[in-house]
Amino acid sequence: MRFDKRFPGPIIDDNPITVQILGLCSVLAVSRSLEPALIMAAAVIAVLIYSNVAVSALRTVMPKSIRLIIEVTLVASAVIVVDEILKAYAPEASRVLTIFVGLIITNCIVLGRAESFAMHNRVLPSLADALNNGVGYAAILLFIAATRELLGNGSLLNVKVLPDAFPRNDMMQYAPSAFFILGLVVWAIRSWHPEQAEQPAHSAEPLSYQEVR
Amino acid sequence: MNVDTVPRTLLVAAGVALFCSAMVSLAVHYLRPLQVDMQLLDRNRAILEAAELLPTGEVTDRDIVSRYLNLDARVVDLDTAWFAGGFDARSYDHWRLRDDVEAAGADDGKRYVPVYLVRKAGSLEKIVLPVDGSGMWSTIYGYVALREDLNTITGVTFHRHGETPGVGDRIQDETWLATWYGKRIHDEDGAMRFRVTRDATGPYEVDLISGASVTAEATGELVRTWLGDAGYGPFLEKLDENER
Repeated sequence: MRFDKRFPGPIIDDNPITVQILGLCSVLAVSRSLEPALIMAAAVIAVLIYSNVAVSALRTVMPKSIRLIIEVTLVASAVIVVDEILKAYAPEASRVLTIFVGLIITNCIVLGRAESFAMHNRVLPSLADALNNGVGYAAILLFIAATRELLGNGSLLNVKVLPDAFPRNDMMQYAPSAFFILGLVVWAIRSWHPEQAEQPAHSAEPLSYQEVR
Repeated sequence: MNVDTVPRTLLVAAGVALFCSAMVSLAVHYLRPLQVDMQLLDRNRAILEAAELLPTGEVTDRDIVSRYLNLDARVVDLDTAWFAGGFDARSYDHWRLRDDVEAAGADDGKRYVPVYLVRKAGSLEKIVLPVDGSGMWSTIYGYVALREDLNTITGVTFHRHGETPGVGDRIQDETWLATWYGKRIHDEDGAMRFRVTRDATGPYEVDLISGASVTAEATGELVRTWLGDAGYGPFLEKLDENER
């Protein structure tokens, strides 16, 4: 399926989490096990597609003065619908994900793609862009969730994988472990693709009097 | 085409608002009945979990419904401390009445409370009592099951709450809830001794969850309140006399 030359795009090179460092809140919070992470990933992809397509379709009629308000309204209503659907069809997952489904509204990836891409592009490229970013988000989220569930609980998707003799790492059950794993992932990717590393924001050398003036 | 004129701005704003609100209201309208069913199923599951009546392993919706129907559901009048008639106790939901003041009318869900009796060969084996109270951010709802002595906890669940995800929600952790098992409420003199506390010792105290101590202590406090004189205390005394 290649409806647009942009999809499938460079998942690693332009990943919203590891390159743009966006959408971390939900990645850290819902990655304790794979099942809720899968549902969260699907929810984010659905909202991303909807918001990108809707914003792109409306981009020519959207008055500049209320552009952001319209974008947020579209995203927020999509998120509420997703949340209601989860409550009705997947109440268990909805309980695990708690507020993090609602917080997709404030997920920087969604608004970021709407603002930086969908506002300036046609519907089809916007759809491809949404898919690229959604899959990029899902890839990192699912990797972290799989690692945490495997090492913390010895299972994947609630199916026991590791033998009981394998020691469980309780720390994996807590949020900080997601931070460590994400840090390691970013480090690994940037060692592999050094061009992704950002320029240091501050110089280590102290400024001389002359330079300050 | 200039889209930045005032009339155009208002028109687009109204259009988007209308479309979005229609979408949300349609979704809520069509999904609400399903959600209510799910909540009811979830509540009944919590009752059965507290009573330890669910099979181990995969639990189907059918398991929950059939086992729930086997319970002896009654409504207790907290003012008279005895069973009250005139209710369909199986579907009676005092929490919903409390949330929805308009539907409640005279019964605001504070006086009449449903309890669930588990009987074995006619005699009382367990009683499941709904409890609720303030947690750290939210109201915590749950069920406590007592043994036939009406003084020993044999199961507890907190199925609905809005505590911090990943922190306060560990009050739902099965390992922690298992530490409640066998704890007693009153001592021989009838004094309330049950507590959730740091460095718990003895048959009346449950250790709190480190890192979630406020929420954990709150669960102990709400159980104390409900099982004390202001809650089920007088009713349980009467029931104890009657069952003997």
